[in-house]
Amino acid sequence: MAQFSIENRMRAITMNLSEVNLMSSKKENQISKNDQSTKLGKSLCNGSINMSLNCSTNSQSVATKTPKRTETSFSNKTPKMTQGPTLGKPNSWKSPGMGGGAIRKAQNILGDRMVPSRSTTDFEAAHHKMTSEDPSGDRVLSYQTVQIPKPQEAYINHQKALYSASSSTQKKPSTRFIPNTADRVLDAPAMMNDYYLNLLDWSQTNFISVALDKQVYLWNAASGDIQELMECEGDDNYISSVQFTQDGSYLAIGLNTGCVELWDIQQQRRLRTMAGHAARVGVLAWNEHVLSSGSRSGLIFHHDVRIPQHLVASLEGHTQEVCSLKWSGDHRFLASGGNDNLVHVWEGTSGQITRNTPLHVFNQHQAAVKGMAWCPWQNRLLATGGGTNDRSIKLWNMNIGDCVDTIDTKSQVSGIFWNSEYQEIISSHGFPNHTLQIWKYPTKAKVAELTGHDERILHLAMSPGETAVMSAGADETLRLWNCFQTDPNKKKGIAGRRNEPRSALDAMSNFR
Amino acid sequence: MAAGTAQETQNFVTLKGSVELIVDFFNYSLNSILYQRGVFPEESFIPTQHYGLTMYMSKMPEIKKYTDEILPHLKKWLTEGKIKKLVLALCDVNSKEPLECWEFRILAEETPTGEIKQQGTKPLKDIQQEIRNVLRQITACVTFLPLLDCVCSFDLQVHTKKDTQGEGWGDVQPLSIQNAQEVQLRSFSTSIQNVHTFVSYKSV
Repeated sequence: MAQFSIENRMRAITMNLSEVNLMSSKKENQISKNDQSTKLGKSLCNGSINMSLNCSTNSQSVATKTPKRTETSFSNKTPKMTQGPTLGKPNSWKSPGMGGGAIRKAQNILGDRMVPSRSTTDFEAAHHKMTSEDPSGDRVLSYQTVQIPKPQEAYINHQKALYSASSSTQKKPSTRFIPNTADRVLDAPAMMNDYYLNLLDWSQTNFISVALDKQVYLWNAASGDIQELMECEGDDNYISSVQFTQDGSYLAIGLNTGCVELWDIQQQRRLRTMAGHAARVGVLAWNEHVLSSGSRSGLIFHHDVRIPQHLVASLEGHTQEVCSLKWSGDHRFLASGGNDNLVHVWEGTSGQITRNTPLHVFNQHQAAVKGMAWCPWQNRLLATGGGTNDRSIKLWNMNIGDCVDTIDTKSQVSGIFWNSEYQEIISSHGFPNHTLQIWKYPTKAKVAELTGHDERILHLAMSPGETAVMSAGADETLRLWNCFQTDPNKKKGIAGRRNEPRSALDAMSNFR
Repeated sequence: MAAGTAQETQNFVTLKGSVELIVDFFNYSLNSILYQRGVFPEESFIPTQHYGLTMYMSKMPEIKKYTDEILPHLKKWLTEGKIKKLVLALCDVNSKEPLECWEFRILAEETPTGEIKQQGTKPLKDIQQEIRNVLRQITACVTFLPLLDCVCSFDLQVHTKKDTQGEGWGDVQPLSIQNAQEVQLRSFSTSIQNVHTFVSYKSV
């Protein structure tokens, strides 16, 4: 019938265009939707017009449904998943052309036989399709002179480690007893499931601070008491980082607004608010009275908290969110890790700010660097852990300025701590295994794997005596692991001293 | 063509420079994809430093030979403005079915007269920053792409204009994935050519 109308009404070709379009649209609704080929065969000559219209409308819908990423200065590295129109359905399921509503509307306004309704015809798109270059004229070329190599048949994709939740590394039987379940499990409702934040810290005075969305809670690890320290204001405001001073008497709190607040633990009151960052403050680190803060904008600020003009320096090194900041034990170096997969090391001195240019830039990690810890007994040794795509702990020597060792952990690394007594590294992991792992240094042998969290572990904190660690998971629990208990029969003198709560002076004398 | 002042020509890319950048980017992307997606064994790659990133380049002689031979062709065609897109498909070796397609669409910015621009207006530093971001995203894609759980190889198809000549190249059927899910990554522009990167994969 399409042919008929075109043969007989050559004069009113434009009118027919709309009618033909209408007719075949109606037809489509009747035919089985998968049966496009027969429809195309029947409508022959107007097929190309109709198809071009269909194409144009379809491509428009693609364009609007998958908007181009607008690039902001601190947008995420991982591309956002946008759902195309064909998600989960074969292409042919989507009925081409106009929707049913448009057709019905067109029928209603069909008035004069000679003055056609053009409401269903997108002339602009049709014109564009007809005048623009014919895509069928393109060539698709493939180079055929050199054979593309194939991997060997027995080869297994190394990315499989990411998808199989079993841990393949052999555990070395430990000479000491490590409890493989958590000593205590605390609820942490509304804990933000964000890898880039740092919401857990353990002070030298044995308080654990944890930020749950808008509130900061203090948990007294000795008595088990819980108190709410503060609640931040603002609708879309939330706490993005917490960090105790070295003596544990003050707590710095980073906010989504870019402000950093300073709280007195004893008196439970706010001492000051320091603004400056343009984006959320995801990580904080103290060097005596100098507070270093890392932001989503990639900037690191040094705040001297004693003076009114607190902002004393800014470090421009990272191009994406800073998610870890750690001062070395002797305060000679500040290490920072970011979502741009880089580790920067800045030179500084105790109680002073660092230089503006990084001493070292390490780019060997293949994912964001969050877990980070300086070795307590070798001041020039730094351990850093990479995200999901990296899954490794790398050890860096500041003197050489290079990577000295790598441990493949098979999981996203979210936190690292060293233990001096056993000379071990404990690391917390996210996807896919959600475990804590303990590694012997320098043999890299796996001593233990602690399971318990149902979802990824986001944060890790170590007790002042280095005897226990606390992990915070996306399953909204905090788990306390007594994994470095001192052996009472061994090294009695040292053990006795270690179990006592340390004074700030002790802490300082340990950094040597 | 209006060339810029001496100052400008020093800082801004020319068409030749733009082509070099894109071909380099493509070479690094290709190797990076093969490494990150686990198409070839980890041991067959060596880390190299480029754009301030650690990139893994294949040391398999066959792959080196392949890239060494195709890149000059790509360079020539890009200079002539012939290439519309490059499609890197990762295919199952046995069934030849494409499982994942990386598409690099290239759009030349034309002068009002319809010719390719010879002189850009963007500093090299900015362009490299943009390229770096795309390469990082390619690396980060591993977190959502499904595992290629079979022995895979790759195939490269170049979509060109009709009048393209190249020795050793033959016409093939364009590859496409059934039930594809497409994700657009960041784009970069040399101010002479724009490159838009997409990855599509089978949605399960």
